[in-house]
Amino acid sequence: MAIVFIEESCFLAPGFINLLENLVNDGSLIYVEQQIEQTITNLKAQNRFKEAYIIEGYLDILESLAVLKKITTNSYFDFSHFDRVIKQNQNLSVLILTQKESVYKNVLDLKNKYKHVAIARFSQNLIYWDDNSNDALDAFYLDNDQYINKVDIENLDYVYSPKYGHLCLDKRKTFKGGEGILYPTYNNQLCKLYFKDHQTYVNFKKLNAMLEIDIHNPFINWPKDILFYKNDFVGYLMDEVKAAESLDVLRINAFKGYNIFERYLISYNLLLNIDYLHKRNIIVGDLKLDNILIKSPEEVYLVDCGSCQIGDFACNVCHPEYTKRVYTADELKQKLRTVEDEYYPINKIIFEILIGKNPNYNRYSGEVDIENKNNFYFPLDLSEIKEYTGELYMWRGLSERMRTFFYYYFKENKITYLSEWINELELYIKNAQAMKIKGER
Amino acid sequence: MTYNDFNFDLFGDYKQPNIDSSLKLPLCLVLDNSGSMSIRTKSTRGSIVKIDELNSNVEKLINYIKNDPKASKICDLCIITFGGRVNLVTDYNLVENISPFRLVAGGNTPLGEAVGLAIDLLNKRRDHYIENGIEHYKPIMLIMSDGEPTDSYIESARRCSEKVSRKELKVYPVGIGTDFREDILQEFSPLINPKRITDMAGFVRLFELLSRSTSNPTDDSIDKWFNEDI
Repeated sequence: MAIVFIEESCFLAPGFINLLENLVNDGSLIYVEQQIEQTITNLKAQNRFKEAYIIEGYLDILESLAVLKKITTNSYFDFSHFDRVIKQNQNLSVLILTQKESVYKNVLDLKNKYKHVAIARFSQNLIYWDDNSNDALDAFYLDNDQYINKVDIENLDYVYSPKYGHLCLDKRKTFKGGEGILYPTYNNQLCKLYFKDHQTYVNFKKLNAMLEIDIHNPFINWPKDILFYKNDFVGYLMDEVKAAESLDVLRINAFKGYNIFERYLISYNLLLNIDYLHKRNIIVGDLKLDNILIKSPEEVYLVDCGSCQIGDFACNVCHPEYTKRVYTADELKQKLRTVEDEYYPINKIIFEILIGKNPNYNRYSGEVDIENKNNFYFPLDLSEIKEYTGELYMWRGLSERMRTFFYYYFKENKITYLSEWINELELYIKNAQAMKIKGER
Repeated sequence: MTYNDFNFDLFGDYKQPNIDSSLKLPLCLVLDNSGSMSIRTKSTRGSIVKIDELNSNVEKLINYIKNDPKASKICDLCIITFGGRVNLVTDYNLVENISPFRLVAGGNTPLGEAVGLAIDLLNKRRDHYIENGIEHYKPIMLIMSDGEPTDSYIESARRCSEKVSRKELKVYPVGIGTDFREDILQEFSPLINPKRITDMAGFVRLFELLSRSTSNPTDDSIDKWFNEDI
């Protein structure tokens, strides 16, 4: 006999019924999240009927066998109630089943606290989750870069691309960034020319590796070719996104010209782009508002992708406001970031789009509390709000799950992975559209 | 409920608050234009007329802010001078609204009164931000002086220092030349030691770093520069 907590996606794993049968035959009590019915409703709303009916079927069986218990975990973020169940049944072994790494990380404290708690996922058999090491991996890095001749880019009038030939630089509108200068060409392309300290063999090799990856997403502004000046590597070429506005400017202008629904669309489309890269083991790295361009809510571009982290080539830049870990200049070059590191800018940017404020905004002082990134002043319990100001109004307008995602990320660093964020935004958008149509009838 | 559970108008025109930007960086320059600022100062790298250097670098700062898409929207600039009397060149405002000006040196050094005015204006501005739901980064105050205050500065220094200690303000104290009173400037700034600048390069570097802060308030290059040895 054991206590078993099952996270809902386990029910969808092929062959799970055999394990469940064994557990029930052993007299185990099966715990599921209190809001599981809501998950089923959401799946149906997304036309994922097969998944919804499978979970519903399992719950019916467990209920009829009188072994099913429901418990609050706040969308798998808060296991304090389950902790009490474990405490009250010290003599029973505990198994937590989850297919999701995010949930595994949220229950890790229980495993560390009690010796008789095990966490596993299911794929034909039980597979126990391992503790992952948090040490950052080493990047490909050369201490002494002897392969590249450094070129002074500010005096160049043209560069050479093996694919597109000689390109004249339009010096009338340039943009200076941390790594180099952006020059438009006269054929709707952009040349990013690196400053001398970024004209490195590592960057040259990295761009070669990037060109070998097929990126078929028109909203990701991927490098198109490497640029040379008289045989010396100076930068890379990409498409120019015209008639688009930087998210940074939109944010400062309080999203003038966009209604609230469109801000949800922007968030959704941005996350699809980031997810596209993550699925290919690419980390954006320098994810910040001015690297995101908006043409319309459906056309959200990720630009300046030459700095992305791919394989063991690190992203050499970061914006202090959009990173939680503080990187030294050497660390940026020598250490690789994890996908988890990327969740700080993801959460911050989505929060800023949807709420219009910094997550560290303190409404009492009016100040952005950038020195304390764990200070989050938005309550999970809406009854704590006595007076609604603009940002609290927007906060209340999020779905309950989105508020939970943000709250647990900024307060406790518990991550909701992109697949769940995307599902939730998709559901919200569909529901909003449906309500609009209903209201118009 | 999966969808928001109240009447939240997602599709209507979002009612914009009457503001030019949702995010601000209040920056106040408290600048000495007393008589001594017109004296030519000799340094190891040539000689400078301090008021000319100040004018030229303030102009460069304003031009930088004007031309930077982010700084031009978020930077709320206030300039106060003290030379004979305290003069409010401009209250907190966008640089596009600031008319060209040229500082002229003359008179004594009422530093205390100038900083007192700067704090009063900052408090008023913060109230404006809070009332209108405008976020702001930590306010920055640059205090530049080349001599000893000629007024009673103690109360202003206390108020300024208290604000810094409460983390409501960042003060960068700068002494020009060799005759300024480092110990007095320090009283306004409990966290950052006064920086001495004696030549053109010092002026240029200071205003370059300040410009960078206006477009990226989280950039700490200016703090690092202040922490370098004089």
